Amino acid sequence: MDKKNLALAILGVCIISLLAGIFLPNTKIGKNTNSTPNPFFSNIEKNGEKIALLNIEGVISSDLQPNTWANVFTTESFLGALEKAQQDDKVKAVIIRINSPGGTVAASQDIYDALLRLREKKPVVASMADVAASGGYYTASAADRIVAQKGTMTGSIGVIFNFVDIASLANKIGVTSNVIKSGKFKDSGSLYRKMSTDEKELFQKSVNDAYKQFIKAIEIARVNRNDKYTVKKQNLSMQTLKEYADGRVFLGDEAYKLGFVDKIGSLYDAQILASEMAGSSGILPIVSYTKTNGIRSLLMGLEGKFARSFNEILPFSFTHNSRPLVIWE
Amino acid sequence: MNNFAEIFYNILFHPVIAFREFSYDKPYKLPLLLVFLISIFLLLLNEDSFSFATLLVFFFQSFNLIVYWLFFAFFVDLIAKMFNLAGNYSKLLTLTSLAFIPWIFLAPLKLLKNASFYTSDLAVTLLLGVWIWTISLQVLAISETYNIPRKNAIIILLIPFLGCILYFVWAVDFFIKLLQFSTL
Repeated sequence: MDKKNLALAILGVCIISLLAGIFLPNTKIGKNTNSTPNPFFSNIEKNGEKIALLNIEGVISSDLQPNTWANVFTTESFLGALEKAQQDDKVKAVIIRINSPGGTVAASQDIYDALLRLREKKPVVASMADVAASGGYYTASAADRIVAQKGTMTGSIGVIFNFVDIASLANKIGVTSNVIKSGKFKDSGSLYRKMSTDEKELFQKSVNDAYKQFIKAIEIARVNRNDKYTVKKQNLSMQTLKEYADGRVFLGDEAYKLGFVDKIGSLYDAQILASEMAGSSGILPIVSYTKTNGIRSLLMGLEGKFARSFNEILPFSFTHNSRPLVIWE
Repeated sequence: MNNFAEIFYNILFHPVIAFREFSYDKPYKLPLLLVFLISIFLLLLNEDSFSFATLLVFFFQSFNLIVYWLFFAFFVDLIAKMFNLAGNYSKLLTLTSLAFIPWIFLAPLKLLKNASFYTSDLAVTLLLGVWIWTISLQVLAISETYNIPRKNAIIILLIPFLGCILYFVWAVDFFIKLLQFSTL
């Protein structure tokens, strides 16, 4: 073969390789479908179908200040990512990976509501990591199915309202507070005086109401769950829910027996389950929708080394003592 | 076609001859077309699905490599001028565009890898081989353009990279200090 023909042959092989990769339906032989898909040609036969993975990591809160540099999960960023996953037609199912002890009531409810809306359009699977307690469970209950590990710490169904009283300390150092208010409850929960009986009753009522909302949410999403999916589910009875919704935590193994979760397994098991619920014959690849990347990820990684703020040492209910919380701490 | 095949063959197997014999009477048309085609080629390799919209995106993304190529040649020429080296910028553009040609081998390599024809380690080694081949051609292109020994061409090529590393270290250090300051 002379050099001209050899050059043309080489060029031809390269172009044919490219065209083969684009147009042949399946060029994979013995490829591990569980591995992260190679973007080169690999998704063409599936037309890019995927599972969106969204992480709920740390305390669930809408706060951006003063915890910008602390490990506080923000609802807004999560809901934005959830909206993207919902709009993307190639996303056939969504996995919510939860590693959270809970957080504020309203933020948990925001996520819960968004997930309930999403599950009317796409299958939603919650995968629990180390902890998915209180508000973590609140959000998980909105999924079609919940997968937890045997050792996952979950439960803690309840509401907490923490008030700090520094009246004695303030007296010792000579600090007094002068309050002028329009109504007797306007300075309820003040740091500088003991709480009155009326105020205690008022806050207790708020806690009880938030607790009822929590129970109702689980009842709607899990107890009365009536979905189209044929994959196995665990039934949770109202009686069991009320019996175990006293703030106690339990492991994933027990949660499965009681019906609080549907399956014992890992994120991979959640991936299989979500693929099945999406009606896929194979296992769909997972694509993260909440992972930070680029310079933001670099800076957020760096700040972790330097920004161990005082807030992180204190319990969340201590630093957020003016609102009801669904948190286990 | 014969002339094209001969140039292609020489660039792959006798680059010195190819670079010396190449005609520079149309300095921008061929290099620009070549870089554009290779850019499209690389984009096709990395795309997971196709539609009319993605083809449009391809068209605009393909300019990334062109911009990269123009800046690369510009920086190399700038450094060469700092060392008072005589050379033609058009010639440098042409030769550096030809140096991208080995990248077309990524297609068969990736296709075979995707078919599990060889292991990931071998794939990385082969891809590294293609990258070294391309860099070697870039060195040769600089050497031929400015009539300098290849070791000097390597130094010219390394200066922007070293500069980038130094700048990156400086920038990271600056932002770390900034974060430390903001969290005091």
